[in-house]
Amino acid sequence: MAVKKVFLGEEFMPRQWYNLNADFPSPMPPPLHPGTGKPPTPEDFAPIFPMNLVEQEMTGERWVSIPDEVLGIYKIWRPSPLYRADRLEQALGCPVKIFFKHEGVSPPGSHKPNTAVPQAYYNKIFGVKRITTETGAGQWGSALAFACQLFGLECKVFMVRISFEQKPYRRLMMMTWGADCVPSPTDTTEAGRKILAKDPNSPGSLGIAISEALEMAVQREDTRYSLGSVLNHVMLHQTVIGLEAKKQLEALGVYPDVVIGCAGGGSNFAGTAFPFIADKISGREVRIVATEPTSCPTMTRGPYAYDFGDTNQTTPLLPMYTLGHDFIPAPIHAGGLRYHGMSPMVSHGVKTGLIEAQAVDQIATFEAGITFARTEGFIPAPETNHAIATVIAEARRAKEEGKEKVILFNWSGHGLVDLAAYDAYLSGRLTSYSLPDDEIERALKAIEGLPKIA
Amino acid sequence: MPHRAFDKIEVRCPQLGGPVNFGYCRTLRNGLPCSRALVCFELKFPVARYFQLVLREETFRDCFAEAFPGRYELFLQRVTEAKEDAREG
Repeated sequence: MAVKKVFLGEEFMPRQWYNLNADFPSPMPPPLHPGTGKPPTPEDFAPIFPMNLVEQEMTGERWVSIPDEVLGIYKIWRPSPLYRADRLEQALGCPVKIFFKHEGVSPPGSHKPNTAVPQAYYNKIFGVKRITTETGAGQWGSALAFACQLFGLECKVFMVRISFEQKPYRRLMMMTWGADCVPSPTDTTEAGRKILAKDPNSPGSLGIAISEALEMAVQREDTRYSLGSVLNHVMLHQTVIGLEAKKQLEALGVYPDVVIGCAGGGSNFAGTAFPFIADKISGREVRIVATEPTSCPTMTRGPYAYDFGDTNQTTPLLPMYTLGHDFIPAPIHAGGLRYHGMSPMVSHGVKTGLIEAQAVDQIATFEAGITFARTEGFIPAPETNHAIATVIAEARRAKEEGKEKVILFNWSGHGLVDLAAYDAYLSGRLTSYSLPDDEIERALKAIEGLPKIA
Repeated sequence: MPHRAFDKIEVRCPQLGGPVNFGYCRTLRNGLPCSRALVCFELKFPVARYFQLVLREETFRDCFAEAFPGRYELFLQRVTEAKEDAREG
């Protein structure tokens, strides 16, 4: 009987996180502060983060030790199992072996606590009493609430109001773990009051919630802020995923041909892929694929970019724009991840050719998620479905090419608190077009000739 | 108002992880659209054409140009603003 899952003993848990910044063939250009045009300094991050995390943010060390206290908490769910998706393989009928890291086993149900826990720890030993953050759907907020509770820290979560109202279960998780979760904008910060003065019914935004969380952190000596993605130290912490996966695959005597992850802010993708990118840099043949969550698939015609560098070009290159109803979703292409939402480390990986970037349309992701749930049983988070859709596409490509492949992907979280998204798909509300063409044309004609609004 | 013709069209926001309508997205940034609006609504209606009709050319570019600050850079900017606001307060 084939092995279904590989457990790694606690004694074999990674004792260090891996920092890809130490191994990039060309140094990652530092992000530039928009105000100064210069790379950030440790002072830029104080008093937002404790200095121990600022050091990690800026380190060039290849390995960073995982504190025993963090390992002790990680053991609640780590090492996470590596599964063989043999039932999915059978359903696809392609010459592939598909493995996935099941990050849904953590108490919050996703990969997020892999960084929430160390962040809470480092804040605690720095003497911080309270951590603030923002959250949209609540995955990050709930992970931080969980971590803060375990270290005896207060946790204040500014949840975008529109999400606060849509996602009662996530905020209840946060409250169960002792966090104070409030709908942003609030009247407890200057940033929130300014917005409410203009619009008392503001639905909020991530930008406003971040501003509120930062304001509180800056104004209180005993308070710091925490972010669940994008930053280097977050990517670092998440590498526990890929480091475990390597050991688990080694136990089976296999190595992946393709490593796939969904990349929103980049953390779960980075965590899975970065340890394998290290091998790639050393000459190992392995493809690393990041799937961007986007509602819009693209064709394979060319870069998917809004390019205003050419002064003669006044409209963006949008290969999708003219496709209309006859559009047949092509499997996956993107000229690059939309870098403005992405971790600099992941963006650099894409720009230097270490990482391939792809995009999948929303309908295909839910089709993939349903296929996965109906074969392997677990119901994925909608974000995870992007990775699964790419896995399925890779499997089909393997069949077309007549090549056997080993595919590893990160099952970044379960969808049990996000079933409303499945409801929208299953009830047909996620269809591509919501208005008939003639109605769209009439609406656009009515706007033509009107004064521009901004 | 003609500009609101598409406001009720919904997509799943990849950043918020839940449904949002176009009315929310087209005014997200102090009355200007979210920089992802073209990507997110492209399958729903000719969203680029809509914004070219309602926004001046330079505003359209400012909203959607690839040179828009990355999330890391935006975060740095917000940190600086929070610190400056705290000093003034």
